[in-house]
Amino acid sequence: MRWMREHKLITALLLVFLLLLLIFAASMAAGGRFAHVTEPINTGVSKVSGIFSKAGNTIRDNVKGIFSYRSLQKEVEALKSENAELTRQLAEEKLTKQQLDELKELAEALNYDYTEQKFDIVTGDVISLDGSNWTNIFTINCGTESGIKVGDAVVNGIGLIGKVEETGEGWSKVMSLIDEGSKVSFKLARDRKQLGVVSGNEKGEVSGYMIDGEALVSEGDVIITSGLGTYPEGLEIGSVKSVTYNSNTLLKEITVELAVNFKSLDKVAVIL
Amino acid sequence: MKSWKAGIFFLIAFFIQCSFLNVISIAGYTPNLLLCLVIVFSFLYEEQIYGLLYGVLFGVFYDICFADVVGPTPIALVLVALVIFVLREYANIENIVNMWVTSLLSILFYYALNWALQHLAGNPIGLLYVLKTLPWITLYSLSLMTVLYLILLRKMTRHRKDRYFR
Repeated sequence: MRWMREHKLITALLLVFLLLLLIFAASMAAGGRFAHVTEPINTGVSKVSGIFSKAGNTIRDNVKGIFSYRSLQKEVEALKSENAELTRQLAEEKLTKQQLDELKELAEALNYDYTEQKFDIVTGDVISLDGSNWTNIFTINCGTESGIKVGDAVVNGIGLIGKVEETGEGWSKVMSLIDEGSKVSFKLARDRKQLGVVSGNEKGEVSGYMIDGEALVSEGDVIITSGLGTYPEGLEIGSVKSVTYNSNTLLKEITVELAVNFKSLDKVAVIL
Repeated sequence: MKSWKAGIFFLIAFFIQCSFLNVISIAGYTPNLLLCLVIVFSFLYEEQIYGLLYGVLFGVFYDICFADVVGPTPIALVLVALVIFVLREYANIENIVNMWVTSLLSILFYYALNWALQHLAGNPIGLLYVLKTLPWITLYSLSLMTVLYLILLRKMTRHRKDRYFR
């Protein structure tokens, strides 16, 4: 005790350090969640960082516009030609829609049990992002008030991002596919009978394997969620970057190029 | 420097880090502002331990908001501050090269420690991947720390232990 009185600073530092170790151990034991403690902090932080984020986005959009006039012009040209192509495709698809309607009528006539998968979707803005450079955890500006729950899938216009890890009033913490470490079941978009499993790996990529060792999978194949497990069916995960055959496990192992770029996320949608 | 001024530095850094800073990222990389402040404050101010105290506080907030578990960031920041307290005893703090060497060692130490703790908590990211991202983060952080150092050095009170003290 006398030593502690004589070395107050060192004692205080040791106590702080011990407290931090205890918090770390308790946090690991609780699976990272102390909702009653972390929720008020997350709510406060998300409100303030929302303001910073809006200011940042406004500056970025304006500055980007000034410095990238030429590339924007090229982008407009590309979008114009893409629009023309899509309009042409839409005209062709109208025939297909007619055929689909006929098929639905036929299904009704034959008393076929047709179920259409529909999701409720809540959209939100990314208001803060982990700046540690090697994880992709971020916060969005919608939470329990919109019906969001822990485990809900998060997507954007391009594909699957991850799932809601924590949520509260006006905020939700989203963990990406790469970071969560859990396994995601997928199937090939071109052949939906070919199933597999992917997860984040130590290289900051997504990799996995095909369940059928003789599955026909090749580079460039698009993979989508299979609907088994947490994520709903049909969400694009990415495309196959490489395929190797592991003679020990007799499985085809793949690495995946994710569809989503986590560094440029602005708006996301949560599937309820 | 007064404690509330240091607190404001850390508060602004915390919010800029998680929102505004991503706007000016280079190739997706951003400097670690909290780490930069902890290093510069611990290096420049010997008797005031604001770097360490605010590092702990905002490190805990940071983990609550952006990590799977609470603890790796504040623990790593505390240890970095303590290492700097030891290193600065052997260095002339008015020499910028000493600041760069201390900062470099601190950044490496911080990321290695943070990765080890995160790995212990179940994060799948490998050390090689972290090391691959480190050159850019280090360069970016060092540039920022140099600016901070040059600003704060002019403002700080000379200490009795400095050999230039008169």
